[in-house]
Amino acid sequence: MEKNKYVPRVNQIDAIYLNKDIARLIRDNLLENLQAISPVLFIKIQPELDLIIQSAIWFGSVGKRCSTFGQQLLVLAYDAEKLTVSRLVLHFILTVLPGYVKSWEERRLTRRVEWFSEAIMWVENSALILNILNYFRFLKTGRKPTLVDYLLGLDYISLRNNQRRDIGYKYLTRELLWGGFMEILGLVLPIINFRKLQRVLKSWTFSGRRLEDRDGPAFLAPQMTLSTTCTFCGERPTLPHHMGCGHIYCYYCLNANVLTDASFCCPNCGSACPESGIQSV
Amino acid sequence: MAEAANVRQNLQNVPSIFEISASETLDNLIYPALSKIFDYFGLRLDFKLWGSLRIQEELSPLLTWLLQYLYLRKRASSFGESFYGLQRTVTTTGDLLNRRQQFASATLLTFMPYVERKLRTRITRHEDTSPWEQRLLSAFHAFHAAKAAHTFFYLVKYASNHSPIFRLLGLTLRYPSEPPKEDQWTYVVLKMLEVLAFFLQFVQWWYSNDQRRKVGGTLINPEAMPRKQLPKEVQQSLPQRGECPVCLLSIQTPTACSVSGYVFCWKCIVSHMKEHGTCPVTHYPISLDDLVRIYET
Repeated sequence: MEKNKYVPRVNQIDAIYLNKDIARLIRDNLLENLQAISPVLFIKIQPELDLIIQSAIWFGSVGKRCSTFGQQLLVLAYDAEKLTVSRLVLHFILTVLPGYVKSWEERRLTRRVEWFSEAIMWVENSALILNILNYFRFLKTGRKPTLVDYLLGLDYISLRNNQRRDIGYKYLTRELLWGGFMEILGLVLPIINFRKLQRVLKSWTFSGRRLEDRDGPAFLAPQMTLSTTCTFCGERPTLPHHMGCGHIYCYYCLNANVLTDASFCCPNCGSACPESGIQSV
Repeated sequence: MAEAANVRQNLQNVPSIFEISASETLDNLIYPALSKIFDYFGLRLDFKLWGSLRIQEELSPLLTWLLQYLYLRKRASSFGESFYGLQRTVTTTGDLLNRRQQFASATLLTFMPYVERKLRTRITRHEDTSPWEQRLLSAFHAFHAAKAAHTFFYLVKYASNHSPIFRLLGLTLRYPSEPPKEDQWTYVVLKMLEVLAFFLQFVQWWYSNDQRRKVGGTLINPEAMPRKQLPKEVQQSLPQRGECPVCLLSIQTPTACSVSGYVFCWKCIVSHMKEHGTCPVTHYPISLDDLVRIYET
C-alpha cells in the first residue's frame, strides 16, 4: 500500500501552531504553580525546569510516536522510515537545547560574556533569516515547513487516505455568531440613554401614583445624618445638594445629571427638578 | 483557546486538550458572571433586607452547584462540557454516571474553586491567616501543577483521563455515542441555559475590557460650585487661604472634610468632631471616616 504523500499546506501550518499552543499550555501551567509554591527556589532552577518540561514533551511526542502533539491532532506524522536514531537525536538537539543555551547567556554564567552573547545573537539572527527563506520555499513546494525539518530531510505524511480537511463548523459558527453579537451589543449599549428609558417606563407604570404625588408637599427639607449617602452614587455626599424632594446628592452627581438630562427625576421618588434648580443642604 | 476546539480529527475518538481546556474555562466563568449580576442587583434593589451579610458570596456557589447538577443529571456532563459536546463516562465500564457520581462531580466542580477563591481573597487582603491556610493554598498550587502534569500524561496516552479529579472519581471524557433524548420541558430549559452561557460570556467580556464602557453615555461636566455672596464686613473677617477656619492660624497637618470640602488642622477638626460631631463651618454631621489627610509634596 502506497503511503499518502500529499498533505495540505494549511494542515502542516496548523499542526505547528497547535503544537506550540499545547506546549505553552502545559509549560505555563506547571511553571506558574511551581513558582507560586516556592518563588525563591523557582528563580534558581527555572532554566533547568524549563529544559526538563520541554524534554518530556519532546520524548512524549516525537520520541515516542514520530509525531508532535499538533500533528497527532490533525492525524499527521513524520515519515517513520526517514526518522532514524541519529535524526531523532539531531531533532532533539535542534529543537530543545537552543532555549536552554540561551538561558545560559541570560544568567551570565560564562566568563567570556561578550563573545558568548555576540555568538548567540549571530546564531539567532541567522536562524531567523533562514526560517524566513525556508518558509518561502515551503510555500512553493509544500514540503518541510520548518527549518529543522528541512535540515533533517523530514516530511509530513497523512495517516488517513481521505485528504479532505474536516472542520467542525458547528462550534465555529456558534463562536462567530455570538462573538459578533457581543460586538454589536458593545457598540450599541453605550449609545442608549438608559436613564431616559427608565424614566419613561416608570412614568408608564406609576402614572396613577404620580398624580397623587403631585398633590403632596411641594418641598421637603433634607436631613443630613452620619449615615446619609448620595442617592446617585451611593457614597458619602461631597458638597451635599438636593432638588426639593428630600433626597441628598453630591454636587457633581446632581448638577451633572441635570445638565445632561433636562428632565432628570429623582431615582428614589421620581420627583422632577424644580424651576429654581438645585440647592445646597 | 475556544477556536482551537474546532479542530476535531482524532484517531482515537478522544477529546482534544483544547476542547477540555475550553470547557473548563466556560465552567470557571459561571461564578464571576453570577457575582457581577448579584452585585448589580444588590446596588440597584438595595439588598439591605439581608443585613450586612454578603449573601451573594454564598448564593453564587449554590446556584453554580444547582446548574452543574442539573446538567450532570440530564446530560452526564458539566455545563461547559455539554457546551462543547463532551460527556462523562465511567472509565472501567463505559456507562453513564450514577446518582452518587453525579453528586460528587457537581460538589467537586463547585466546592474546590470556592475554597481556593476564599483562600486567595483572604491572603490578598492580608488578613490574619494561620499557617494551615498558607499550606492549604500551597496544596492548591501543587494540585494545579499535578493537573498540568496529568494533562501531559493524557496527551501521551499514559492516562485515560485528563485530570486527577477524574481519576479519583473513575471517570473519563468522551464524545456521546448518541444525541441525548429529552422531553420538551428539559429541551426548553437547556436551550435557555445555553443562551445564558452566551450572556455569562458577555458579562465577563464587558467587565474585562480595558475601555471603560459607560452605559447611557457620559455625564456633562458641571462648573465649579458658585461661591456664596456674603456682606463685605463678613468677607473681611473670613480666614485667608492657608488658614484653619477653627484656630485662624496656619494649617498644621492639613486635613480635608470630604463632605464640606473645607481644610482644617488635624488637631482642630478631630477635637471639634469628637466634641460636636459636625463640621465647624457648615454644621454637616461628620465622622472620622469623612476626614481625608492631605499630603503636600
